[in-house]
Amino acid sequence: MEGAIAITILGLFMLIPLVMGGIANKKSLPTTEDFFVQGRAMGSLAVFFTVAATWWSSFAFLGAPSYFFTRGPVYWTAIAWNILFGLLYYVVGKRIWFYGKKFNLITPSDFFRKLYGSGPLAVIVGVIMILFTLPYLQIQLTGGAYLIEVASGGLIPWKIGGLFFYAVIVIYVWAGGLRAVAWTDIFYGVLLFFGMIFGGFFVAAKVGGTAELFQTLKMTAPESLTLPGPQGVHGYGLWISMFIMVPIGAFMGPQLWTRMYSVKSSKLFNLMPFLLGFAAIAYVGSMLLGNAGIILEADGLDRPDRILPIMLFKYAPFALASLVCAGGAAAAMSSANSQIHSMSAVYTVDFHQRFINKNMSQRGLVWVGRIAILVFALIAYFMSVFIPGLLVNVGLVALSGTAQVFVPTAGILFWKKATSTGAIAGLLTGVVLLCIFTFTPLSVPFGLHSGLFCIIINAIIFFIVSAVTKQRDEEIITMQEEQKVIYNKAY
Amino acid sequence: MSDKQKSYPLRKVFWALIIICFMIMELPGIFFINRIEPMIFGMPFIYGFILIMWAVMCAIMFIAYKNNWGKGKDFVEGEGDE
Repeated sequence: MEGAIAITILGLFMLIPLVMGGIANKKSLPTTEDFFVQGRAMGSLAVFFTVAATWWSSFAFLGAPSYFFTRGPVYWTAIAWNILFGLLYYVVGKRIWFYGKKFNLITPSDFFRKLYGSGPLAVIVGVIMILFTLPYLQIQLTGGAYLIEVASGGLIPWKIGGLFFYAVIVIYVWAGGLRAVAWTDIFYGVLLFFGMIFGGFFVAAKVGGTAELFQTLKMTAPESLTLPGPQGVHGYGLWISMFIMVPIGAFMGPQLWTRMYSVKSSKLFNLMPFLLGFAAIAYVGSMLLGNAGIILEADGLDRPDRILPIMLFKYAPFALASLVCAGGAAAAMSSANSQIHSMSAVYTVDFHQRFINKNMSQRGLVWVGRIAILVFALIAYFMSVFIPGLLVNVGLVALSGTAQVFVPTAGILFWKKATSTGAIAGLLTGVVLLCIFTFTPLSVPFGLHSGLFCIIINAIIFFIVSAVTKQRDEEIITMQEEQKVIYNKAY
Repeated sequence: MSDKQKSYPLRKVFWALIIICFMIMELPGIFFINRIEPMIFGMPFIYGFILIMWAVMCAIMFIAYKNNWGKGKDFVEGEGDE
């Protein structure tokens, strides 16, 4: 009986996006602009849900309860970082949208090529985008496939679940492009939001409700209720590092650039800080669930990332647990579909069209994009099978990489003297340092996360080198100054 | 005075409030709110207080949106960019 319920829930969960992909396909046009940025005509509702669903991922759904369960309150800085993410969308995103609309930009590299006038910088940005988005994609698959396994009551092993997971994504993204991604994200976003909140309150009720939960923890595990947490290492440095790193890193991911270019009305950017900030309330569910786990799973878990499904299947009715876990898989899928789609855009527009076949037709490029979707999905699948890792930790490395691109982005938008040499020097320094801190035992001072430290060094190098190197072409500077006047007046 | 040089005092107020809220939630605020007592809404202080700040910031950002982020209710978005 339970198996039938689980398979029905998962079946519907897979079928609905496929239907949406089919409908999206009927509305699509065979152009790269339509396939990759939905003809810059995405409506407000779709933009909010696709941004929120893309932004929340396995990192939030599975990673957050795991952090509260094992590391104390450090993940609670997520409330502030969600608000910062919304503000970035308004301050920086709206400007990127403006330039995207003016100059028909499709990928992040297009932006750098246009405003810096530098091909090498655009290539470096493209490579960083692909290299650092892949591990983030990998954690979506790891999380999503695992949730499919538990939601099916063990009927579908995670490696098979992972293949299902990507088959569904590839089919509807292949068919409907960004339009399909955005529509399915509305479905996923709703499932995810209520799944996160419901899971937390339901499990907290099992230990007597919120007040009782924390009274018990105050007596039995007070170290879990303040920084630096029970392990004694997740303190102020990480609290502040994550507040800056996570939103900047996610914001700079190619999937979010796509969501800036595709917006129809600029007014939406003004509302996004409120909408995304408000949605942060869902973290209350993760926080309650993780803390309840300290009491209910007092002996700990081998894989703390699995605290959410384990608790739900132990303490909630099977059908409800299965549904909420499908919400978790939704978190993973909604991020994965966007990442695959945007990496495909980067490859197709920045590399294939520019270096392999300059004269390819629009229809041909859309096909290249589709094949790229398949290839990136397969790479991520094999990475998740052969390179496991704690979701939040892998995610932080990936976000730290894309976050490096924030320096030259903000630099060119707000500083006239920014140069491509400064941008390249800063980016390369930041990325190389990040690799050193990730793959060697070296650590960063003051308990900061290495990603934040690398951004600071990246920014210092960027400013120094830009200040002493030759300015951009006068023509580009004049063009940008003219556009700034228009932007300041109209937006 | 050109449009570019227009000053929007309300805009500065919104951003000042947002920065102050972030300072309270992050740096240096976290050094003072990292405690269990007094409990708020049945939660440790660090959890409950951040929730209050979340509500305050949501209110600020909504009011800012309604006022076109300080440019006033009469401001027409996109006018002059045809």
